[in-house]
Parts: sequence; C-alpha cells; structure tokens
Amino acid sequence: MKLLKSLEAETKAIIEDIATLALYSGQSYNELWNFTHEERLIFSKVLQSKIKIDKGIKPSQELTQGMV
Amino acid sequence: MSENQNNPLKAFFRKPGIWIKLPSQGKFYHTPLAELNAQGEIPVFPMTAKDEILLKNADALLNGSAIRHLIESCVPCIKDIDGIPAIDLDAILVAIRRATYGEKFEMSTECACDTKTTTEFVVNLDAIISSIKVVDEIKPIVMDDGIKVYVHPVNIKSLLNLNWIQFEQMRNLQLADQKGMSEDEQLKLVNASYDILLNTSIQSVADCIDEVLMPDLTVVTHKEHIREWATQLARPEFKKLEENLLSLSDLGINKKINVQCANCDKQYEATIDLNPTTFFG
Repeated sequence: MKLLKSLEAETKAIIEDIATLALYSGQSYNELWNFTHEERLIFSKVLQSKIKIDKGIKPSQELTQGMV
Repeated sequence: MSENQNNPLKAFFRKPGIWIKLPSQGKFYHTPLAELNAQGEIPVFPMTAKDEILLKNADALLNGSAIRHLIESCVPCIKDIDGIPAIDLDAILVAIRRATYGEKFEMSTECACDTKTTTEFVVNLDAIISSIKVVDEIKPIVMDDGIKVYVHPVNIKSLLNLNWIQFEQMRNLQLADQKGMSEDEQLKLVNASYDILLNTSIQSVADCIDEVLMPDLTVVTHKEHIREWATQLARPEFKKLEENLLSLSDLGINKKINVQCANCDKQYEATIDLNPTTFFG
C-alpha cells in the first residue's frame, strides 16, 4: 500500500512538472511528454533564466548565498 | 499521448544516451538485432516522461507491459522483446537508467550486525556498464545420473509470465483469507495455486532446454519428451536445473558491491536491486 501511494505521488509529480513547463513555456503539453529527464531539467533552467530576464533581473543582480 | 506511435520519424526524436555491449551479443534472439555496430554494441536511449510515468503504474509493472514498453521505447533496435534473454535484461535496465538519470545511483543496505545499521552509498553505473562480460558459451548442466542438459537462458516472456502467475496466486490466497473461507476451502485453494506455480515453473525450465545428452550418448531434442522428463524429476534435481538457469542471468553483469558497515566496520557484499519499481524510482 505504501509503495502504491509512493507511485501515485511520483506520477502526480511528473504530471505537475510537465504541466508547469507547458504553461510557462507555451510549448505543447503533448510534445513535452517526449522530453527526457535531462531535457526537462535544461528546459526548466533556461526557462527560469528567461523569466528573470523578462522581469528585468540581470544575473549580476541576483542575491546569491555568497553575498549574504 | 500515442499520436507519435506510427510516426516514421519516431526513432529520430532522441539521440542515443549510450552504447552498450550486450552479454549475449545477439545470440539466443529469434529476430536478429538491428544496429549492432562493429564493436558489437547497441544504442540505448534515455526515457521520455511518457516512459517514466508508465513505470509508476503498478498494474503495468505487474503484468510486464511497463518493461516491454520501456525496452521498445529506449532500445528500438531490439524487435523481439519477449525473446530477450535474461542475461541481457539486467545490462539493458542499467543502461536505460544511466542514459536517463546519469551515472550515479544511490542505494542503501542493511548490515547483518546487531545494530542492523543502514549504510548509504553511491554506485557508479558507468563502472558496471564497462564491466559487462560477453557470454561466449553456456556450459551444460551435469545431473547426478550423468545426464548433460544443454540450455539457453530464460527469456523475458517466461520471466514476466512467472512473475505474473506468482502475483495472481498470491492475490487469490489473500482474497480467500479476506472473504473468510473455511480452512478446507483455503487448503484446496493453496494446493491448486501450488500446482499452477509448479506447472508454470516446469514449463519455463523445459522451454530453456535445447537438448539432453544421455550417458549412452543418445541425444533427446523432442520438446514434449523433455517436458515430460522435467515433470518427473525429483525435487533436488529439478531445483538444480532451475537454479542453474536462474544463475545464468548473473553472467553478464556484476551486481555485487562491497560495502563497509558504518557501525561495525565489517565488509559485506550487497546486491544491486534491479527491480524496476525501485531501480527507476
């Protein structure tokens, strides 16, 4: 039962991951299902950078751990 | 999600993650492997999100369709999935995991010492893949009465079928217990389940026997005669055959890892569990 619940939770996490990428990137939800794990990580990283740039935040203005 | 199934460009969607040497080198397959390169390697692709989600479906995992789909998607050069010998299956699963999530695989084991300390460590899948051994020949199994049994490795179809039947019988017994059946009825059900499991097991073993060489050098290749002989074998003899066949799957890949207990410092051997439910989790 514990295993079933964990499988269900992992399934939901993947769907949420794909739905988030589709919504924020404007890419087709169906097409994103053909992405590999690594492609999704890269896509997500690039998307985050794009969102920051769109908001006017330059990488040099980001508050990082080293600055605290 | 299945609109791409008939797309002739499907094979070009992803780039191969890695190339691996199959322990069988394409032997024991009914359909020859496509794309085997000069070094005897095949391409393995990373999983897509679609593949990953199928591995989270308990029913698909139990009835074997998740594994079939996974290999069809990630190792497209193997056309005869049911015919994949078990000696190749472990190498394929390790390669798919490596191509998808990278070379590090975190696992934990429990030491047999009093404190049962759990040790967590990282396995380098690249090291395992580079140590894949090619199985050139399979030695015959010599029985106590001098009979030599020439075998080939069990295939995925038999393995998945056996797993499914085991699960089905276990579920029937649990249901019988829940329904409050009488002891007599439960006993009948246990016996029937045992018979089904035994027959399936005998059939799987018999299917792997190519020929039997008798001490007087007579060769028996007739499938039905071999099956009948396997049915009549004494329990220890049958177990010897069964265990030898199952151990063939360990020939290609080394799944043993030396671990040092964090508590008692004792070294012990742990085995990498390639069960898809946990291995791809």
